[in-house]
Amino acid sequence: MAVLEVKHVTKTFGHGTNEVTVLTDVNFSAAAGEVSLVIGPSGSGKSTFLTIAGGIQTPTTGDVVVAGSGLSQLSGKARDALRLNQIGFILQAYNLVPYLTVKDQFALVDRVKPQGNLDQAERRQLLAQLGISQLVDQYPAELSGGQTQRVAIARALYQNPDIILADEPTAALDSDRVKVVGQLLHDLAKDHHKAIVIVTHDLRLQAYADRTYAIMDGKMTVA
Amino acid sequence: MFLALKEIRHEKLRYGLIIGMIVLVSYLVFVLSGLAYGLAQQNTQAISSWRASKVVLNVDANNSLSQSLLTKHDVTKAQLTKHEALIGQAGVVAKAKGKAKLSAQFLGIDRQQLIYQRVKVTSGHKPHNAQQIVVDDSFKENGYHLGERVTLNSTDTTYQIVGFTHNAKLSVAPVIYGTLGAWRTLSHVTGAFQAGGIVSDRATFKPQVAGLQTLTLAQFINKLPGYSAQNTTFTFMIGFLMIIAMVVIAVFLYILTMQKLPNYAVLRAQGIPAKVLVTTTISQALILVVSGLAIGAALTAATVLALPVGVPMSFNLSLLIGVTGGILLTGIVGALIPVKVILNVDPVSVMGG
Ligand SMILES: Nc1ncnc2c1ncn2[C@@H]1O[C@H](COP(=O)(O)OP(=O)(O)O)[C@@H](O)[C@H]1O
Ligand SMILES: [Mg+2]
Repeated sequence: MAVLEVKHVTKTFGHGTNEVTVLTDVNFSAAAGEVSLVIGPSGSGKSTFLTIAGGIQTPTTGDVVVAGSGLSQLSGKARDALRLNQIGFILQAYNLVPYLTVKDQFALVDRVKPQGNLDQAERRQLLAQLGISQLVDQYPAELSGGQTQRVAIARALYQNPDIILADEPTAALDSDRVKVVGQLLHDLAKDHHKAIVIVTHDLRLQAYADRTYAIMDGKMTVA
Repeated sequence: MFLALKEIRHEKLRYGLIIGMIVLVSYLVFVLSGLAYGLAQQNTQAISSWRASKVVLNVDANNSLSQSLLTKHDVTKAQLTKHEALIGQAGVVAKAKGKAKLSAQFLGIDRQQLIYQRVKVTSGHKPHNAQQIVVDDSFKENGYHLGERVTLNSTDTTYQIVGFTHNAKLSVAPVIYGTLGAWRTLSHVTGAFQAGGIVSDRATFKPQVAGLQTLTLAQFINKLPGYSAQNTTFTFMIGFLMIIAMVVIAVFLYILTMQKLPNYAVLRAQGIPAKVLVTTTISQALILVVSGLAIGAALTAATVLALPVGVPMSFNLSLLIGVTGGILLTGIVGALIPVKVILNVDPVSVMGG
């Protein structure tokens, strides 16, 4: 069943002679229990696609339907709530709050969303799996790129969202870690019935995907 | 609150500096307003202690007690009750052997009347005869003691200090309380003049006597030589200081909030509601401003204790509330000016290409 549908989405930036069309009539759907991979080179529109799919950017035309509701119909508040409760973002740039320790990044989630997060045991297991159990008292500035990325993954998964949108989640990881992250996302889809969408140029992730799309100059095709 | 405190704890230097700046600004405003208010009080402290509401002077005295003279006839026609008191003011120089000369205001009063009754003696006793005087505490600070014989101006008469009274200042000079007879001598007027003016604690007192005019206490105080000019100056000074202080604080908190926008973008991308970011911003501004004000107030209190006795400094509750409230308010306003920017912060800006 499709929990996330992107329907005829076009995105243009700028006006007049500066106008650039970044996405052209993109159609896409992600189902619970599946890993969807969108592969494209740098500048092809992957991040734009993912942020529109997750409701933090609005399409110029077209709409995104999450769990049955069209995002364009929702108020800003309702979109916030939907994002907090149902969508987990793993961003491309490192997206941790610099003044919170790893532990506090999770505490912040508990504060704004007291219910529906992973429990203690599940969190401990997640941190162990990602190899970051030892880092809970560190600040983001004290982490390496790969460690930061893994903490960002853990933070997004901790919210236990139905949909996980990951933007180049393996960019800073070595091959062993790529396997761990790929397997983890794959297992989340299979065992926990999540819908996983990964945009990347990392072909190594193809092994964990149920479907693969290609994106090129803003046009998406089924690979 | 969670985010606000975590951030302050993590960025101790930055927030310490901002609190330090608020401390200095509020300390400056507190101390200067305390000094200005203290000085203003030294113009009027003695008058306040009489708890009067009307002052009657000669029409030609140009509202000045020291220039005013009332004849026996005036006084009789004014029909005094126990709510009125005669008073005469003369500027004098007091001296005693081996002591510094002191410029003072001599106030002649009647031992049967209101002012005499309301003067509070902190040590010694009230005068029993024309040679005895009660003087302001600042005489004590200049080495004068009980029983000391002082001469006033170049007269031969000596007067004995029999009592000290606290906070008796008039036109920023210490007050000497004596008799109306002594006042006549010091002002070189004959027995035909009974006093300089009449003070009454009745709001309705208004003798209909030709040549006399009745002033309210506020009018009388505002006409004290130099008083309004001084007060206007200080009011403007403190007003400008407050405005500048508030603008500086508002600008600092504005910059602080603007610098946090990238972090706010990260939080927005995580789905943290905008409301949380706004409350974080406000509570952080409150924490900074309140702790700055508290430390500033503590420093001011320490300064008051450390200041030499002669420096006039006193505080007025409504002035303090005004200063504190003003700074608090601008802190919040400064932090909130960018609230629209916070609400519209673009999470995409942190996503990278
Ligand atoms: N806010 C924007 N304004 C103008 N152009 C943008 C904006 N965001 C992205 N673009 C452009 O859209 C194209 C696709 O960007 P992006 O989606 O980040 O690609 P990718 O993630 O695949 O590298 C790029 O050419 C980029 O310059
Ligand atoms: Mg990208």
